[in-house]
Amino acid sequence: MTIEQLLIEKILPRVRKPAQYLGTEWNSVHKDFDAVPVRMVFAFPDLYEVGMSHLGLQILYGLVNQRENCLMERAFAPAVDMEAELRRAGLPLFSLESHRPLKDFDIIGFTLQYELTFSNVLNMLDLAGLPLRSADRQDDQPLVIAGGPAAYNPEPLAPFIDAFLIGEGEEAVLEILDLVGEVKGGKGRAFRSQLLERLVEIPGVYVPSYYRAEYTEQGRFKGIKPIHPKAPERVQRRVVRDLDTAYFPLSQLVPLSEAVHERGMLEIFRGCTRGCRFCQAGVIYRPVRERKPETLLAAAREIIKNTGFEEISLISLSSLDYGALDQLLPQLTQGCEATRTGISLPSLRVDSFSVKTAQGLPGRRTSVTFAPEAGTQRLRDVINKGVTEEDLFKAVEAAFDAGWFAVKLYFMVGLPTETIDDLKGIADLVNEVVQIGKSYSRGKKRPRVTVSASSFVPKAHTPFQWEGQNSRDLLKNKHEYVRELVKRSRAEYNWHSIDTSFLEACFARGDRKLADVLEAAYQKGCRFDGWSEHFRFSLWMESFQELGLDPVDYAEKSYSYDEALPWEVIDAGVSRDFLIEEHQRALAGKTSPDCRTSRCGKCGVCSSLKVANCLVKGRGR
Amino acid sequence: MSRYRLEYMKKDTARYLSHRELMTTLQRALKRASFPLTYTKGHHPRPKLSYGPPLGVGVAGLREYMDLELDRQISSREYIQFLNDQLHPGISARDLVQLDPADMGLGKFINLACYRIELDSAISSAITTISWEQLFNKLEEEYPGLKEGLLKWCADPVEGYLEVLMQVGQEGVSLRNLLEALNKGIGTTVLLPSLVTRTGLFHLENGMITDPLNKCTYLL
Ligand code: SF4
Repeated sequence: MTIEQLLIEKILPRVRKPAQYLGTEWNSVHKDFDAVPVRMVFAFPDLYEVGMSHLGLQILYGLVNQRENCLMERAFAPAVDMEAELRRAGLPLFSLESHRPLKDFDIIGFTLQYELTFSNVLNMLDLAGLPLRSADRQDDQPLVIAGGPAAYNPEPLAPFIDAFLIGEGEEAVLEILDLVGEVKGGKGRAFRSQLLERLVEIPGVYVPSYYRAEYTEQGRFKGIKPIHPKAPERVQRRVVRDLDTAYFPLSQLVPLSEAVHERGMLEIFRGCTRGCRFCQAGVIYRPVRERKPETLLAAAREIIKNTGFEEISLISLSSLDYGALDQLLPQLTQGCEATRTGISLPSLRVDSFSVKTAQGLPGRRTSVTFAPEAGTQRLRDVINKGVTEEDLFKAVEAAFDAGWFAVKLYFMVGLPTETIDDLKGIADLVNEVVQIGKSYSRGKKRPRVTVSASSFVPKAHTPFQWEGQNSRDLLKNKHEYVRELVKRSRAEYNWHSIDTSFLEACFARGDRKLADVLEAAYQKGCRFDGWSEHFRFSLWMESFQELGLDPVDYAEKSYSYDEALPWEVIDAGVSRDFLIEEHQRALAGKTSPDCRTSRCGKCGVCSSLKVANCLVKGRGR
Repeated sequence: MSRYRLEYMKKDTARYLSHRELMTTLQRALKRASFPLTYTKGHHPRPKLSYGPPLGVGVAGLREYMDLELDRQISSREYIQFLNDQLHPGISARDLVQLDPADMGLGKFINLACYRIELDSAISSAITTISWEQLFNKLEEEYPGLKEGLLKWCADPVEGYLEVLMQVGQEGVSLRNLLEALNKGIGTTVLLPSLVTRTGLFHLENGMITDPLNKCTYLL
C-alpha cells in the first residue's frame, strides 16, 4: 500500500479532524511530483489550524507554485493522535498534497513563528526519518532550512538546521530554489555540502555550521566567529524594497478543517515604525511599505472571487495606520457588498478614530480589543507606547457608543522599571473602563470587560534585549496583585502561563548551548509547548539541570552594553547605537517619535538595507 | 425569492469532512460559483441555506440534500455545472430543483435514512457463529429505541455488506449507536464510520416512502 492508501483506509478513520490531512483544500496545488525538478515542503511546526491562518505560508506557497520548475507542498505538525498513529504504523511524516515522505523533497523549510514551536521542529525532523542534527544527516538527505521571526536568534536551533534565511522570503526563497535546481542538475539529489557552499553566498542566508560560538574560560559567551572563508561576519536580513509590485497570493488556500482564522488575507502594508520598545516585529519588519489602494482593491476582488471566504482581513502590524484608509475602505466596503463579505481589522489602535472606522465596516462584531500595555503614563512612555489615558477612555466610549458590548484590554506585566504604582495603574484603568461601561448597561447586563495580561519577555534585536525578565515568583505575585485589584471592579483577569513565558525568554535570548537542552526535552517527550494542555515544564527543568545550565540565568540576566550577544551574528538592520539610545531613553522615560509621521529617528535600517519608508501619501508633517 | 433543493454527494476522501466542514465548504463553493444567494439581514449576514441531517465524519453520502434560497430563478443545468467547477474532489452536485413555495423544507421532510455498511471478511466469518437475526434481536437491551427505529435491514454475506433503513431524528436511533451496538454484539471494534455510506434520505408517511426531489415513491 502507498502512504496515501494506508492513510485513507487505516489511519484517517482513527484520528480526530481527519480532514486536515487530506490536502485537497481549495486552491491547493497538486503537481506531478516526479516531473518537477525542484521540490520544497513548507513545514509549519504547529497544528494545521494555526498554520493555515499564517500569511507567510500563503505567500510562499503561491509564489513558488507559480513557477513551473518548482513545487511547494505543506506539512504541519501532526496532532498528538496522528503522531501516535504514524509511529505505530511506522509511517514517515508526509506532505499534504502528494502524501510523499518529507525525505523525498529537496528542501524542508520550517517557519519559526515563536520559540515554543522548537520542540515541534525536532519532532517533525524525527518523524520525517531524519537525524536531528545536521552533522548526523547524510549528504544526500534533504536540505533543512528555517526562517521567520524566531530565526532572528537562530542559535538554539543552530545544530539542527542547515541554513537559516533571515528576513523576508519573497525574493530569497526563489534564489534558493534556483540554486538547488542548478546544483542538482539532472541528478536525483544535490549534496548538502555542495549546496551550503553556494547558499552562503546568498544574502540573508546564515549557515550555522560555518560559525563557531566562542566562550570565555568562565563560560561566558564571547562571540560567534566565521570559520569558513565565505561566511560573512554578520548576516544581514532580507527585505522587499517595493511591496506594491511584490508577489501577493490571490488564490489563497481555503482551510478544509477548521482554522483559527478563516478569512482572506489582504496585507495592506508591512513594517511598523511606532517603536514600542519591547516589540521585535517593530524592528525586524522596518521600514513601512504600504501598498497602493488600487493594488489592494484589485487584489481584494480576486481573493473574494477565488476563495468564497466570508471575511477579508486587512493585515499589517497596525492597520489603522494605513495612509489611505479614507480611499480604501469606502471602495472596499462597496466591493464586498454583493457577496456580503465582512471586513476585519486584526487589532485596533487605542483611539476613537479607530473605533469609528471599524464601526463602519461590514461584518461580525464580537468584542473590541485595545492594547494600552501598561498602567501608567510613565511606564507607557518607558515602552514608547504612544497612548494616553484619555485616548483609551475615548476609544472605549466610542466602542460602547457604537454598540460593542465586550471590551478586551491587553497589558504586559514585568516591564522594565515597573513599580507597584504601574500595577495599580492597570487596575485603575480597568476600573475606569468598567465605570464608563456602566452607563451603557442593558437592563441588568453590564458590558463585559476582560483583561488579558502577559508577562514581559525580552526579545533579541529590541531596545529591551539587555533587560532580564522578572523572576517567576515576582511575576506571579504581580499578576496576583493586579488580579485582586481588578476583581474588585468586576472585570475578568486572564494571564498567560508564567512558566511558558519563562521558557520563551530562555530561548528568545538563548545561545547554542540550549540546543542540547532542547534535544533532551524533546527526547523526554516535550512538544506543543505553546499549548497549555501539552506543556510539561518539569521536563524542561530536568533537561536544563542534566546539562548543567541554569534557565534562570538565561531568562533573568541583564546584559551590559559591552557584552557580546549570541544573536548579534544576525544584522537586523537597526544599529546597535540606536538600540542603546532607545534603551537609555526608555530608562529616562523619554518617548521617541514615529518616523512614519515625523522625522527619521536614525534607526539605521534605511541606510544599511538601502530601503526607505514607502507611504502612499508621502510622509506627513 | 426562489427556493431550490440541491442533491449532492460526499464520498472518497471527502467522507472525512465533518458536517460543519462540509457546510462551510459548500457555502464557499456556492459563493465562488456566484449563486445569487439570499442573505439574512443585520450586521452578520448569512446565506439562507439549510442542510439535511448531518453526516458523521467518515461516513459517505450518495444522495445528500440542502435547501437554498436565491434572489432569482436560475437555470439548474447551468448552475450545477458552475458549482461542480468549484467543488472539491469527492463532493459533487447531482441535481438542483426548484421547490414549491409550500414545500415543508428538508428539516421536516426527511425522517428516514438508508445506510450501507461494508463488512470485511473478518466480520462475515465472525457472524456465522451468531446470526444477524440474533444480533439485531439483542440490540434492544442496551440501546432503547434503536430496534424500533430500524425499519428494515438486510445482510448480504456474499457481497459483504449490510443495509439498514433507519428512522431519522428519533431518540436513541443513530448510526453511531448502531455501529456501537453491532461492534459489541460481534465482539469487534472494526465497524467504523468510514465503512458506511448513506445511500439515501427519504420521507416516510403512511407506509409510503418519497425521496426529497419527489422523483420516486416506494412502498415500505
Ligand atoms: S532609518 Fe529612519 S526612516 Fe528608516 S525606519 Fe529607521 S527611523 Fe524610520
